[in-house]
Amino acid sequence: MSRRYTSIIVIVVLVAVLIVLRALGFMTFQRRGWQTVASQFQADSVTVRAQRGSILSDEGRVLVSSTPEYQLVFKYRDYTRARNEQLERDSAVRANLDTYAKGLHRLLPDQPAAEFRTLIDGALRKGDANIQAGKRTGLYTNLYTHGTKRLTYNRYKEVKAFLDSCNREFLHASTSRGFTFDEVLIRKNAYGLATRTLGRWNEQTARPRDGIELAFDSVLSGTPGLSHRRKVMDTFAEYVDVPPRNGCDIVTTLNVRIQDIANKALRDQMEEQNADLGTAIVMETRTGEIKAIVNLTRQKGEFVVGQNIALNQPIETGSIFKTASILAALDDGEVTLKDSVDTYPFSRHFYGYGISDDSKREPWKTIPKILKYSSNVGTMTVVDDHYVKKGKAEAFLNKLLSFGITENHHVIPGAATSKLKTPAQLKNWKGEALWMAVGYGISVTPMNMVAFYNAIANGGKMMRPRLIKEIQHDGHTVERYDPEVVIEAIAKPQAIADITECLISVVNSDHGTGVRAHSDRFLIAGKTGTAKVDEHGQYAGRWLNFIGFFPADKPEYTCGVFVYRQAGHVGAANGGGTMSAPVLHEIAERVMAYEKTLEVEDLRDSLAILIPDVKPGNIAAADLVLDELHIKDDSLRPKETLFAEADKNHPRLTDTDHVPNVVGMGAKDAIFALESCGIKAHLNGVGKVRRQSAAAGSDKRKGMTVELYLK
Amino acid sequence: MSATAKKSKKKSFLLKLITGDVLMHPWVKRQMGLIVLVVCLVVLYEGNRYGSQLETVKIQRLRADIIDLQNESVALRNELMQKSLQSNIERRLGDDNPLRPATAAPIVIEK
Repeated sequence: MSRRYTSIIVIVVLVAVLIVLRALGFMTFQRRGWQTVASQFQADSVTVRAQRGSILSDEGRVLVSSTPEYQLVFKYRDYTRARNEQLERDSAVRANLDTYAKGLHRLLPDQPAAEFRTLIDGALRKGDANIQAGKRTGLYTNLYTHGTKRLTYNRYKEVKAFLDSCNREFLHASTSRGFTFDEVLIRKNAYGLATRTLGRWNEQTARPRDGIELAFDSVLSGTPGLSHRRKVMDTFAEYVDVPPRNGCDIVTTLNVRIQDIANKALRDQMEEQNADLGTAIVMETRTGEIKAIVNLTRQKGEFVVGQNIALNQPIETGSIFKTASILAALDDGEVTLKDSVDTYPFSRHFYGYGISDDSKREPWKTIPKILKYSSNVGTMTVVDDHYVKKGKAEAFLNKLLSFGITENHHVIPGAATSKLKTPAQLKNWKGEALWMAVGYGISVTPMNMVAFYNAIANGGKMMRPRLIKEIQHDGHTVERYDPEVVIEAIAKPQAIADITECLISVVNSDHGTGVRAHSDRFLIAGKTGTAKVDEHGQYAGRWLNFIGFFPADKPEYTCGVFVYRQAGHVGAANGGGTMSAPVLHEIAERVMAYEKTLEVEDLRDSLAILIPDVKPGNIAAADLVLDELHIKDDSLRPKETLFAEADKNHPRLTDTDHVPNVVGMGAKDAIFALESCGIKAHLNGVGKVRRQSAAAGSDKRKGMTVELYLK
Repeated sequence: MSATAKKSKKKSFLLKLITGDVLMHPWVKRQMGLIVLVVCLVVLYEGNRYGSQLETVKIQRLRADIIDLQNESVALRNELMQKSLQSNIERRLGDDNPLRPATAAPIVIEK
């Protein structure tokens, strides 16, 4: 072997040894540093986020879904590492401040250009101060401070494209420097409706706060997957090892249109009447499906997301509870609709406490009139005479409980429970049962009261209020929630029919407390209720309520409206009949207009007899029309030809020497008749000829003009 | 075999490996077909691996596009839904407009 070849071999071996030594160095002394570098090029067991499921309406419209939104910020890096880059950027942005400000204002018009200018300028000054002070920490300035303070995805793309183009032009850089976007994954309530019921989302913790979001969190969130990342060519490739299982979608019973109608009706009334809290529930009578659930809280004139009043606010219901008390007496056979109660002088003392009626009409009231006028004295007298005085106060309580008023419906987990009086309370003081009978001293959620009225509307069958229809995964049903009967019959059919009649009279008879809910289009039944609220012995405000169902003869929906106005807030409406009944009226008419379509046949009045009114005149034309209509009744056809012979195509006058009788004719026939005789006609008015100026049968004169008066 | 002889054999093998004489070894000659096959398979494997990486990058890009379009459609849908609510349309039209929401059911005249 030649010396030269040997020396090459030696060099190769030396290089190999050096490589091995270097590798040993990487593996020992420089291990940590190189591991950090390696981790930038690959990552194992990376969690793949599962997509959170959406919340849908009854028609499958998306009510809540996940979507990213962005904060537009001006960001400083640690200047010691990128000082030159930062200084270059600052000078470019400063020089083109107006272009940036105007461009951003064009894309985000709700924030003035001057404000963008001030904020960007302020951010640059802060950056200068940072450099002067030698601070190493980064700085953020939020540049978009109006509206939601965040950009939707599409707006973000537009703003990003604009900033990128500016950077390319002014900085000759392809990426946004300074101007950056912080992504926030939010849950967007597409319609902004039923916020409390659907649930709120905590963006800081990325966790649900309440409502369906929280109750069905495990179903909505899905299961995350696993992946590993490798550097491939110039980019990173993500290899999914365990695919994520996306969350299920929740299909609710809410109907967007009905929810919008209820929301608007309640909102408008609360604004007009200066109310503080309000809730409206619309329930489908047959199934118990909640079609709308509105919760509104008003603070300093602005509507804010407040509490879920419908489900979490047990209240003293006031007079809407009288329906339950009277139903109890009807179902027990203690009273009939014909029984009367003396309520004069419209105030009375029961066991040491006085009560009075607002309405001073009709001292002797039948049972329907007790409800119609919402008589406290009447209701208490019925309960006192038939239960308390007979020592059956507990039986009265048990009867009320048997109506399912305190049933926990678990509409969503965590909803408040309702309570009536306890047997012990009834034993302590006899007046307790009477106050309960008019809706005081109890604690019932609006949802429970609506469910009770819905049972009346449903012929006595109490359905469980339902908010969730089914759970779906990728469009396939995973679990279905069917309508559930809570109580097959809360009362006997006759008692239900009687109480329905009473509730119809509340809305549809003169001086009924609920007349403002009346509709000319269909029958509404319901009951008003006003309950004063005391806090620490002081008057704090009042609940002004109304619950009804419609159409009362064949109920399809039950609706409850509950509005609270605190003491000191002034408004014209001070009772359930003036505050909440109009809201129900509005909801009912618009929901029925939306839900229903009528056929022409529906409009036909079966009592009306459709007989054409045949004018005297062209008999051939009248015959043709009557034949086409298949009307065989000859009595309708003109009996006297008077002046003409009928010929289908050529009517001919028989007498042209005298003025014809044209009374009863239409204008066309009258003119034809007169002009055939050589007489001019002058028309006054429209319709049939009622009077003619020249008498019929009189001789005609040359150049004669006859005035015709039509009506 | 003595220890010196063993050492000399090892040394000579190393030299053979470096000089390439090992390719002339009868065992290597015998297995040449296999070695060529393995090399071919390695080339194929690398080629496929590169191809799959290209595919992966493409899939990655398409996935990003899908997410982009998804986000875009969700944002647009949310915006349109909010605007199309009847109450919002009424509010935008103002009180002066002659249009009023229907309070009577529509009548189907002809199907």
